[in-house]
Amino acid sequence: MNFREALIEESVVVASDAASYIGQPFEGGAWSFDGGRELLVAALETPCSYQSRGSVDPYSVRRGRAAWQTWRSRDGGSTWQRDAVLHRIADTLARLEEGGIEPLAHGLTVPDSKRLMAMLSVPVGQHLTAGIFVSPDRGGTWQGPNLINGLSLSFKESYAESAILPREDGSLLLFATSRHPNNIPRPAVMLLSGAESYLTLLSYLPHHVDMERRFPSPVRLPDGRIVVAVTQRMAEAPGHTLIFCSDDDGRTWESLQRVNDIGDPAHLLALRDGRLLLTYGVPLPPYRLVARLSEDGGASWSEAYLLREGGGSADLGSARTIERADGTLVTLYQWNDADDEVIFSGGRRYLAALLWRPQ
Amino acid sequence: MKVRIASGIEEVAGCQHVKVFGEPEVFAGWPFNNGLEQYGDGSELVVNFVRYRCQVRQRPDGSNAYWSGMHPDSGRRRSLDGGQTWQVEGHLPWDRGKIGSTVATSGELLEDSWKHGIVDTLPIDPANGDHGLFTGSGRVGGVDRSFVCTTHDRGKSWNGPSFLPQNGVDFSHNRPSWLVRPDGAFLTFPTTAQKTGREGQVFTYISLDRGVTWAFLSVMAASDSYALIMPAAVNLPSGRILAAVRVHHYPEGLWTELYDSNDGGRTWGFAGRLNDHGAPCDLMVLPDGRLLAIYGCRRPPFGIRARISEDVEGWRWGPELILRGDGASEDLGYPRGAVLPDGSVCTTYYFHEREYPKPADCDQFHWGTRSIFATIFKP
Repeated sequence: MNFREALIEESVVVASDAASYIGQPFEGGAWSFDGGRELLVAALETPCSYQSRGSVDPYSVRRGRAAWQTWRSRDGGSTWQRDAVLHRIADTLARLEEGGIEPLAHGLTVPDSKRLMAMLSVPVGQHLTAGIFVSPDRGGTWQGPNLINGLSLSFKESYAESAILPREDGSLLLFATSRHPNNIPRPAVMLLSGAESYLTLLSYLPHHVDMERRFPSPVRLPDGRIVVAVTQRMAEAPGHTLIFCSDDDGRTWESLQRVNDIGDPAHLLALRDGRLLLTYGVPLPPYRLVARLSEDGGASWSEAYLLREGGGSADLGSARTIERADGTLVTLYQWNDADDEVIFSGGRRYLAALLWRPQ
Repeated sequence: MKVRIASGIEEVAGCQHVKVFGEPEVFAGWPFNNGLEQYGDGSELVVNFVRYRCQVRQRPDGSNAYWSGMHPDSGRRRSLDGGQTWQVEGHLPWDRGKIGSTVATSGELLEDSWKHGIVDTLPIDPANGDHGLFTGSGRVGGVDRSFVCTTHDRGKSWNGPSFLPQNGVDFSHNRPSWLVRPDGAFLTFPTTAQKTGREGQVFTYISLDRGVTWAFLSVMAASDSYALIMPAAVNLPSGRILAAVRVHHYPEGLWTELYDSNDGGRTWGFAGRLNDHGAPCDLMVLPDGRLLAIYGCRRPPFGIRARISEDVEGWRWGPELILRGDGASEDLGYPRGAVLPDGSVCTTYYFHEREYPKPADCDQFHWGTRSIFATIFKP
């Protein structure tokens, strides 16, 4: 394979524990404050024995004693400290059983620079649905979940990652994934707008008759168009990345490009110089973390930058990248090492950060 | 742009036909499904084929029927001189044809590997003439699955298998069809089950570790109205990949369609029809860059036919070429070909010779004595 050179400034472990599964930052979300001097990332953390298939099963690790935990860096990503719990699964289940969580039709406040919003898949019975979490203090505390009427319970099953995009009119676009109408997942766009923050379905991205489309990752281009990276998967297969574009604020969508052979899931970031950055794991030997750049709004893409290679299994990647004001890119991702002393279908799953620049 | 083909039929002079394997009352067939391996400088070839006993027996009502049973032959012949002569080669380790043979191997290799999840496939170097890769399929764990094995000694021993994931289909039937992209990624193209349960769509799988681990990449060809099966694909100079795909269209349609990809097999489009009739088709790139397509013709005159492209990208194709037209029936074809070091081509296929006519009162459509041939010619 031909790769472009990436200048790796630092490679750090954000959080690692031989008795825990830590990862999935794409789903949790990442935020930047003060030009990237302060960073916050949310990742899944759950006790893990690494002694059975069930201990690393994607369904099981999101249940039981799992929590979406945050870590904070105050030096641009070089060092990280454990921070608040965004969402503890057992607490939510207990509140649901007690009837303490009601679906909301409206009443959410649009975030500002201090108020953060996260979206996560929340287990309700045997299904998942989209839940919204809000923090009034840069992630110091979190409130939620809010199960939003229409976004969650009226769908057969829905998934959510923190994929939220503001519009110029002050409203928010929330990108979730629904199985409506034929049980094959595809992204749905919800609009949160108006004085009472009314939430409504705005549009669906195009579907495929056989392959699921998940993990929407949206950005806005300088010319106002919205570009979304979506992971398309055939059953049981690692996914690849499709790019969709909207020139009418998310009401209609057209397909632009397939970016890669394998990439699952992929995070899209609009850089300050106008280029787009796509970061993703390749869950196929020799297990890689790579990135690509687009200079034309996602219509074409560079060869891949090889950020890391040689993981221990397919359970890695789930990347999110933040651009600091000084141009350094901070990619937060899940990894596992082939030569780890803890081995079950790969080494222990841990959260890592890579500080780098494309050459 | 769409593929254009010239009209007209021409006979190719100077074709040399060599019988590779043939015995009375033995059906031998389908090199397309079983492969033609090529090693060394390109003049060392190994052809694989099925073989069954095929004797005429009388039913209680007096009519004739073909009786079938396994045949002990290895179904494998090696040539060291570009197809002029062929020697018996041992069984492939996953071959099930063990009845009456002394070979202790069979599908047990596939079953055991599947049952225990063992993958001992070794990566290959596609530039090494000793190395090779076999892509095939077998019934494993009660399901038809596609697999890959590799060799480092010109097909004398094999390691593997690596199974292709099923990815939601009821069965997967791979034939020996694979290529290496310019960036080093390996691709293979199994035919898979449609939702109707019939064989009828073509997937693309990718390996990033030189043949060991495989994952779904894309759907090459699928149709609601007819079956698209048995692809053969080649790299073109521009970076495009061109694939010939067999169409089976109710009630009697049998032709070859071309599909192409401009992005390494991630997405595919219909490029055009190669012929009126004839499939499956093998594709080869000739030393001057032109493309050669070879297929069986199951309409009189029964035989083996070809077309040659007039450009290196396969947009314009010349008239249909007859390599031989002396077949006794429509039960022939399934060719696999190789370009030899001197620029000539050796193609192997199965053939119904006229000296073995079907008994007049036999109602079985196919079957009977069939032989494996090689035809060597200069395109």
